Amino acid sequence: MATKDFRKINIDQYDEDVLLEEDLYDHDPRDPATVLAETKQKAAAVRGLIAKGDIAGALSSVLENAPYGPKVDDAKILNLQTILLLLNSTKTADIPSTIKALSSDAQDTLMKYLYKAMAMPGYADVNSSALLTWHEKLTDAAGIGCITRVMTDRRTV
Amino acid sequence: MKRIVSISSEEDDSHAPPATIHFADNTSLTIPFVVYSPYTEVPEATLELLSDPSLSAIKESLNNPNPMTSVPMGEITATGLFQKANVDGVYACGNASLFMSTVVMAMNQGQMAGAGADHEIAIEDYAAGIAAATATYRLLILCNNFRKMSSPEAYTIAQVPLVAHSFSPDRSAIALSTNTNEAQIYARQGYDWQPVSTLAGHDKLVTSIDWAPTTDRIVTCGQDRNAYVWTKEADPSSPSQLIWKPTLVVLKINRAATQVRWSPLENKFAVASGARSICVCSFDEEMNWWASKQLKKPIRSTVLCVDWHPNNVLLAAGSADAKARVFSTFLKEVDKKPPANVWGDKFPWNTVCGEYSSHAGGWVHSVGFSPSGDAMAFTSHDSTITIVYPSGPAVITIKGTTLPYVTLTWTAEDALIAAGHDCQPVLFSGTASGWKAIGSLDDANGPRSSSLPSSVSSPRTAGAVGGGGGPPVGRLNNAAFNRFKDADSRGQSSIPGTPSSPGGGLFGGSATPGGVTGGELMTLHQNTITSIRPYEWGPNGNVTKVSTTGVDGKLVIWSVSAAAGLAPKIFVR
Amino acid sequence: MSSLRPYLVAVRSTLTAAMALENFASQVVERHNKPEVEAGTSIEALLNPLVISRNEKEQVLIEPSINSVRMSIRIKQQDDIERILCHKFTRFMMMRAENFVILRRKPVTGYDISFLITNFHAETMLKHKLVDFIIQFMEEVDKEISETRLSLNARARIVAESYLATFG
Repeated sequence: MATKDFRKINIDQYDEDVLLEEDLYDHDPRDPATVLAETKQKAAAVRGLIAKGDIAGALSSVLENAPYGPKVDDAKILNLQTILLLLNSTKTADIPSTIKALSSDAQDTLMKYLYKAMAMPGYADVNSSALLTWHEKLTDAAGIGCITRVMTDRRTV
Repeated sequence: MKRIVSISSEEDDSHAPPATIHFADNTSLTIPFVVYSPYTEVPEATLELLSDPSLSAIKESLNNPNPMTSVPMGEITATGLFQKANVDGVYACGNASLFMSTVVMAMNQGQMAGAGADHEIAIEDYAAGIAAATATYRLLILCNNFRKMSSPEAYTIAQVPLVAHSFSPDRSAIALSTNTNEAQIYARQGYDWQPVSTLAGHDKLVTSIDWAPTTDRIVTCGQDRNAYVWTKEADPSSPSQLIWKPTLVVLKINRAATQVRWSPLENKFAVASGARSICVCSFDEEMNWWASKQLKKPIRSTVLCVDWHPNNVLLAAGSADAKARVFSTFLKEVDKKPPANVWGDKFPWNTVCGEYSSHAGGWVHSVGFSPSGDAMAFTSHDSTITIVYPSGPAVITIKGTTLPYVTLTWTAEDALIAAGHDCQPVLFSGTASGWKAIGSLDDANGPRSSSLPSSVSSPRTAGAVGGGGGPPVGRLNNAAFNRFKDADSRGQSSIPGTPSSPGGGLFGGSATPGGVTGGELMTLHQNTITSIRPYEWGPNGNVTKVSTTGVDGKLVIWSVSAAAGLAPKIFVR
Repeated sequence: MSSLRPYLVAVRSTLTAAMALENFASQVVERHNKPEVEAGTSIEALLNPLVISRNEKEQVLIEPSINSVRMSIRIKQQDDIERILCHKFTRFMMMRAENFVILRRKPVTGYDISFLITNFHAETMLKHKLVDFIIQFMEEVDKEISETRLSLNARARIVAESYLATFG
């Protein structure tokens, strides 16, 4: 009977004024299918760019308009794989120049991906030491403000 | 007594160019060398002595360019010349009983040159000399290095965090919240601040204080959901004394209050609270109390900060839901209908004239209107500062590379200073077309070259990476390991400035490992700056000095021009 | 080790960014002041948790919020002996968490030890020194455990030798 369980009801769910996770940031206006298609397109383009040796350009294009939010998980995983591919194929000596070529927003997004990848150390392409090197160089260039933005930004990739 | 407004000097080849002192009554006086003093008042007798033509033949040359220190000025009764090795100097002293003795202090590694009546010099030990001198001497020290003049005045008030501060209108007293349930009032005595009274009334932490300059009232608010308005009244027990009497303001909020500010006309004040609302209080003459009205919609979380627009009606508020909003607080009993401005035409109660999100969703720690009210700036936890021009419309975001700023104040229509977790105030400047960081007000007084534009880069990261790399880590390992091994026995020594400590100073990425020596940061403040307020205004209405308080218990008064890299103007502090 | 330095550098910079704390009275309960990362009732007061990993076995989880940060460490444990030693070592410290001040009595699930640093700690202690301390702690825990294991093995060998020597 309901009388026994009344203590266990989560009354906050009935509060109209409660702040939900979704209210904290602006949602991606594109719909999931479009996002997935875009991400696949970028992944294909990136392979071409790697062959040409233009890692910085490839990174910029992938980091721009990166998928975020709750409904686009496939696109997110795909984007992560593309980025990991790019990170692993950059020589250590080229990392600082590649980072400098990115825009400030792209650097913030890259930092988000670095942390996301570090959270999955056993995943396919993840090479933790390379990620740590990238993290160090990116913090050098973009400062601690970049890390603070990753913490505060609810648009998680 | 004449009040000095400023001292200016033309640089010439000698070390001691002539200087012109400008007084408050618009007169000026040219003297052969500069007076350096912590006080702004000059006795007339001193002025006569200084303009003595025979002294103009003396050009001071010190073999050490360090500035000399100074002690409080008194009435000057004697001046003279001295000569030592390759140093020419002048002295003056005032003391009724020791007319002919003269002492000049030179900050030449703490040495003091003492001269007898016949101008012979004996170099004495600073400490011994000053012990003899202090009791009876008051000196006027003449120096030729002016760059230290605009250096900040730092006072360590307490060993506890100073959560909020507000100066009295004449800057002789300051009301502080020392992280307790009471607000303290400190008064300037000599070169120090001493507590004079306590404003006790709150049950929990006092989170914010504001001292109204015209009506001389203080309003405080705290985490106990209350606000008190304090007025100076005669003490019933000793009628000649004035004490502060509190009046409780019934705010009707059910959560803590976070910030309180008087409106420009001081007939209203706004209290930001954790109850997701802002209380606007005005004095109800009939009932003889402060009545409060709450602004609720559309705030979704704790309001962290408020700031008033010059028209006494618009209020900017930043909250933990990452938005900065501009509200209208029009109360028909108190306000006249404000004219239309860039923020809108009609301003009924609780109109939201604008709502702005922070760039990456961080809590809005501080908001401020520009002096004219046509622009609004806010700092948020994602290390950005956003400036909004509704007339543009333009929203300009400055993304910082440093820790977030928690407090800001405008100094001019195109400049503002922000301070926060980085422990140093930073000057920003710009217009509706773009803003950028100019430099830090903290000159990290260490032996390093300054290049201001780069000084805003994250000090800690540079230091951390520069210092944390390579051999230092290995060295640290062994040293720390041994210390850990010795940890069983007592008398463990503290960690010296380890190479891998993060650089707190501006130039931590340089060859010197980190900016930390002995565990101290190179900035004046050792911990987060909690509050920055304008302290002094210049003739054109721009702020020339700001005051900051921090979690380290320090109060520092900064000169704004120090950051701009302008030719240093000689001030009398 | 080649990746130790970048690992510690990354932890240091992330922890410095997370320690931007300020006093925040609870929005949910009046006149209370709780570490938001532990209470977890106001989602806007919490920030995204971040993980820094050196490999699968060594990770650091940092969960920041407006007035507190919780940092959990997974310590490298290569074999059973190290697992036991690590468990004993962390248990020793966690039982004395009151004196340790910033230590949490129970580690976050999945990790070996957790720290909880609130704005009150950041007020009485210098933030950069707290970060220094935690980095130093991370280095020394590893060293301590491997040293203890070596001395344990050495002792076991000596004991076994002297015991078996009696049998000729």
